[in-house]
Amino acid sequence: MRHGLVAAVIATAVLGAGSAASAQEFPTKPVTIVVPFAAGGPTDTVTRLVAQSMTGTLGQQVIVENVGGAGGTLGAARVAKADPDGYTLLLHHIGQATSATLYRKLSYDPATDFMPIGIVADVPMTVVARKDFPAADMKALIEQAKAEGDVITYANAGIGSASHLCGMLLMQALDVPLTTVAYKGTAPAMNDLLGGQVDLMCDQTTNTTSQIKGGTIKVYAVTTPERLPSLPDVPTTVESGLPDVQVGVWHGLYAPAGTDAAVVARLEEALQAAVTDPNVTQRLAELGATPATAETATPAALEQLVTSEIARWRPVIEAAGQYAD
Amino acid sequence: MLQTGGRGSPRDIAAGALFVVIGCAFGWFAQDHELGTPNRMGPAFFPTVLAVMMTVLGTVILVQGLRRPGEPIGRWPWRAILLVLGPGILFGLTIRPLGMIAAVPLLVGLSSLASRQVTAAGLVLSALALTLFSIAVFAYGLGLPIPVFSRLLGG
Amino acid sequence: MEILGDLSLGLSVVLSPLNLAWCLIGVLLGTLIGVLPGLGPAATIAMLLPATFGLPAVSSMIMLAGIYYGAQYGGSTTAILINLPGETSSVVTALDGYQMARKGRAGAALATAAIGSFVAGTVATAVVAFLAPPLAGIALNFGAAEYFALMVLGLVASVALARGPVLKAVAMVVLGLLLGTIGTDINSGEQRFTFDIPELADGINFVALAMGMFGIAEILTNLDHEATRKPLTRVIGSLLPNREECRRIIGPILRGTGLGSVLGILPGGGAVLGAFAAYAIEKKISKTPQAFGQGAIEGVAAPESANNAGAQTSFIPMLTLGIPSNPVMALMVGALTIQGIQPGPQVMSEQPELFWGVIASMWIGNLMLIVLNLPLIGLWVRLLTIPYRLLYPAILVFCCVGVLSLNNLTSDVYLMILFGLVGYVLVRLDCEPAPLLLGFILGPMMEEYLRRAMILARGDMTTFVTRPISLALLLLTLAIILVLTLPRVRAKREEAFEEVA
Repeated sequence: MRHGLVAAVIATAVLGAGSAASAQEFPTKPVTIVVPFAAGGPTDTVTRLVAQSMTGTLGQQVIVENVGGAGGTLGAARVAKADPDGYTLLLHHIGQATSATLYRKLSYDPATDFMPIGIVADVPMTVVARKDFPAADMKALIEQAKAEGDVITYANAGIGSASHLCGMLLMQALDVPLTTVAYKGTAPAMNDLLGGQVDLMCDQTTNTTSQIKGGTIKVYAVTTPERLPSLPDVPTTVESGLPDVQVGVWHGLYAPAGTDAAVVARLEEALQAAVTDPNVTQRLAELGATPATAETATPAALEQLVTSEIARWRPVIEAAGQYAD
Repeated sequence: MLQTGGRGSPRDIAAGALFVVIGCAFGWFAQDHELGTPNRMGPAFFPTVLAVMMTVLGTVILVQGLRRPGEPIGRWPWRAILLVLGPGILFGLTIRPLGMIAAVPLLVGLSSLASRQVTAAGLVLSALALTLFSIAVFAYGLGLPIPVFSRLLGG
Repeated sequence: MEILGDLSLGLSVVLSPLNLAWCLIGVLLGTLIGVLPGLGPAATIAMLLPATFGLPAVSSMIMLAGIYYGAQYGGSTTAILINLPGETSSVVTALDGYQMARKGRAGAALATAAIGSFVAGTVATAVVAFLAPPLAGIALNFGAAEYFALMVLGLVASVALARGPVLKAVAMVVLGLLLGTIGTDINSGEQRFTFDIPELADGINFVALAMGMFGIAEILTNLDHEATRKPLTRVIGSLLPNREECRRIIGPILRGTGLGSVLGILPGGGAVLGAFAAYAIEKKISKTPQAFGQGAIEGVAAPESANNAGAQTSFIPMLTLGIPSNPVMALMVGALTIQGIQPGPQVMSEQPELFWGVIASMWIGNLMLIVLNLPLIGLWVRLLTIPYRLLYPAILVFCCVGVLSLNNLTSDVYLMILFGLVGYVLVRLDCEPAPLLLGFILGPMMEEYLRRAMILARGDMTTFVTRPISLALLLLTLAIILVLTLPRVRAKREEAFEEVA
């Protein structure tokens, strides 16, 4: 009897495959966005906000699936190898570009195995220190770093994290090696910064804004070209004389390479609607993220960003000689 | 596995030998990495120290096992091992391509055969009930992104 | 007193019908996912997060917190009934809880867990309310050296978890520590013992390991015994602890609560140690340590109380410092941020309704849980009367689906099956899996803290004895080792202790 059931299922399955939907009526079933990180992280939150809005536009459920592990490369590999039918998408952050260099044994190519749909959002970062760290501003910090070198400790959230990338840029710009202290994630790093166990770190505004406003940590600069509305008194790295230290945790939405252009266009349309939806933009702003605009939530803009970021980070990572595998 | 008569404790001998093998294996593969110094430990430092401890502990357990009598290991329940672990692996292989609708009944049906008290009615009923329960609770109730229907079905 | 005014503000927030309803939904959902092995509060909260956007911040926090401690309640149920700890915290409960269930005392074990959790929840709520700000300071003073000393203490105490020969227990701890080193080394980024399998880059998943070593291995053991003896008792026995048992659990519950409350505050591993440490202490001070591991009711009461107390006090760093101490707290931070509230030092002064409302809701939620769960015990225990030939395929299904739901990786299913086999072989060789799991949890943290402490101290080993908290913890460890090796104590545990030399 059980065998009968299985046979019936298989028979139905084979028959069902014949009636695949054409691109015009896409989507005819729920769309899955793979988040290559654990549920609840910042990328997951951004995805769930966008997925909710896209569900409304596409008229089909947009499901978020967390496939965490190996710095986001497991989830990205899953999507790279998925059927290019537009029903399996990837929402990844800057790691999509840095993984091309950080991982030497990647099973896919971040540049060519994906079809970009559009930029989703960008989260700026801040250079912060423990509250009793002597340097008063960025200029004093640079002088102190040149004088003391590796006496100063720099916390990061693990190889490949945004704080690690920012630290590499900072040290290369200062031309001084600081003592790097690695943590598993930003929370324990921030805990040690608050407790005065380490001196410096870079972290997303999402995590630092309230501590800065509460006076529990010291801030030197934001890593953006312009000052942020949420931290108007904090100078940029450009103003502070470190124009090369620019890091943003940008997020992009991708389909597997080979996805039908009409399907990508439909998804782009839904992404555009999401990043201009006041509900989404307001929530993203509260998370400290800058939502993409109608101009940047496009395949061309994301493609250009991925290409330029891969090229920008390759020499930085190779010079530091730090790989994630 | 070792099966000695009256002298020695087969369980201790086997456990000790197992620990020695594991300790040596970890110690061997740890040497792919840099050892470092106690002041500035490399990635191999901690595992190497542990591997040495593991090997020493295993040796002591083994030697003690040779000296004192103990219970035999006994027969291995091959039927249960094959029919519990096998279907588990099969579940992993079938869940993505076939979905819960096929993977769960396969798991329940095959693993039920591991018991010597299995009945045909019990097997069919529990396969049906558990499949329905899993789909209702995990897929629809809790909304887990686990495929329900076969991928071939387009679901 | 000002704090009473604050608490009554909190109560007035919770006692609104809407918030009471959200609290109830939270604890119900939490109990459900706690009972289903593998499904944890973190994944559930993440899925529900978008649904809370429409709610006021207080209501969403009350509901999400309810899911968290409700899951702690529910998690012990499967550990006791079928030896299946779905979460780190219920591993210890499974040791004696499952043995009680085998002896027909499942009802008493479940009731003890519920009562212990309630008492712990009540005390810990008071701790959070009265002591949150000063306690938060402790967490900040815990640097890498202090954590390392704490881990050493935990490992030494863990030998007490073993019911068999001590030497094998130590070997199992070391094996656990070794398994914990598999994966990416955070300092160098090198992958150790992964053999280029990307699924192993983040190490072995704890849930896959625990469900394999306990749940799957137990199925094999029971099927092996099927022919010779009844695998599970059909005797239900009384559902509640008797008078004598009630008297015996008072001390363990209070000690477990105290220990759990203190360790719960420490981010990064403190909460995990609570249950293990509480169990170890009870076994040490018991007049009948040999009863532990054979179904000692104290062995259920102490770790369950410690768990729940720790779950409650782990809110302290999140609420007062904005630092999440575990993945669930990280989600709470996310939930608050999306509501436009930046978690951090200012929450208590700027959002008093939120701060005190969440704290008051913890106690109300615990009250709801005990009222809901005590009557459910009869139902749970009846599950054990299902013939084993029907029960174990169901356990397998829940294990497989549950472990798959963690990361949506089928490799976790294979790992669970593999460790089921490994666990069964080890049990056949008289090696207990519990010390291995503790070693596995503590190992990566121990290495991380040790290496970080050395980097921060610039390679100066004296950092462990020149920092007062670290020195105190190491002295305590030394004292335990001395007590362990004293002849008097050894005589008391003669059959548990084998001569090494």
